[in-house]
Amino acid sequence: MTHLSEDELLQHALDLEDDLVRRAEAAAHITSCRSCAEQLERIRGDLTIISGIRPTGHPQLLPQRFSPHSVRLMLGAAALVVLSFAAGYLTSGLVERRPASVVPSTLVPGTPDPSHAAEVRSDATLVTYPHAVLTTPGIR
Amino acid sequence: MRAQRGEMSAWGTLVEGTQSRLLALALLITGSRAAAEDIVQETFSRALNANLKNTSGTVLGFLSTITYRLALKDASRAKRHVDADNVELAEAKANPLEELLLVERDRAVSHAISELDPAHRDVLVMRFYGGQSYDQIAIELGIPTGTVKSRMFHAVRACREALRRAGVLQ
Repeated sequence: MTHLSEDELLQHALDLEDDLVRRAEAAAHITSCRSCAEQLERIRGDLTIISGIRPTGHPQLLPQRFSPHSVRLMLGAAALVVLSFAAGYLTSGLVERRPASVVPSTLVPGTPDPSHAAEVRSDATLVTYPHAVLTTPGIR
Repeated sequence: MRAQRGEMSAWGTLVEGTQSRLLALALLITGSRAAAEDIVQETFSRALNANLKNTSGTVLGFLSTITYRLALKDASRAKRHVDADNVELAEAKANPLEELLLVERDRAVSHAISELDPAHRDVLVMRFYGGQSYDQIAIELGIPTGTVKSRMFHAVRACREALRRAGVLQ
């Protein structure tokens, strides 16, 4: 029995892959020849390998940018951030700040002044007399 | 079309079912992971804005046609750039694809496909990774269907021989 050549089997395998009409003669031979049938399966396995590489990972696609709903969500979030910044800026002027000169210059560690139980310095450091141990840099 | 209307589930199905193959297709033609990712992104972007009423065939075939055209354009741009600087050519050509395909066999296969003549390579990747029929490829490339089949046959045969030499196939 004459076996089919490798090229003939490869062509047959490609036709099978593409669901094309196969040559009836070759198909009949493969059905009756175990060697050619095995060879054909091997070639089909090769085709699977050649057509089967997969890159690892996936590109970071951004489908959200195409969704109207997602766009609305992002715009809403951005508006909230802007509003919160604006509100913070506007209300910051309502907080009374005492100028640095108000802090009594006579207050030094070791000489607490009971008349000033607590002072808010201009740099917002809370200084408590006489209970606090004055070790914080910048506190006189 | 459902994805075009903003249905996230349809979009997810579309992306999950096709992006890996499209990425492979773009990688095999451009040889650059970064370029391939941009191309796939651009493919989906164009698909969502495309007029699908007059298109036929599979979704993968439609997307892969876009990917293929973008990849070819990118490859020709990259080639011009590479010609201008041969030092960058060696480094850029040797590494990007290989370092991204972690499986040894896949690396060998991608190398074998990349080494093919571009005319044969394009037919193979459009058929195997773009999921296009011989007739669709023939229309896309402007050649007879018989020529597509012939190129496919020779491309696969060359690939098998290269993979045998590399010890991947018996």
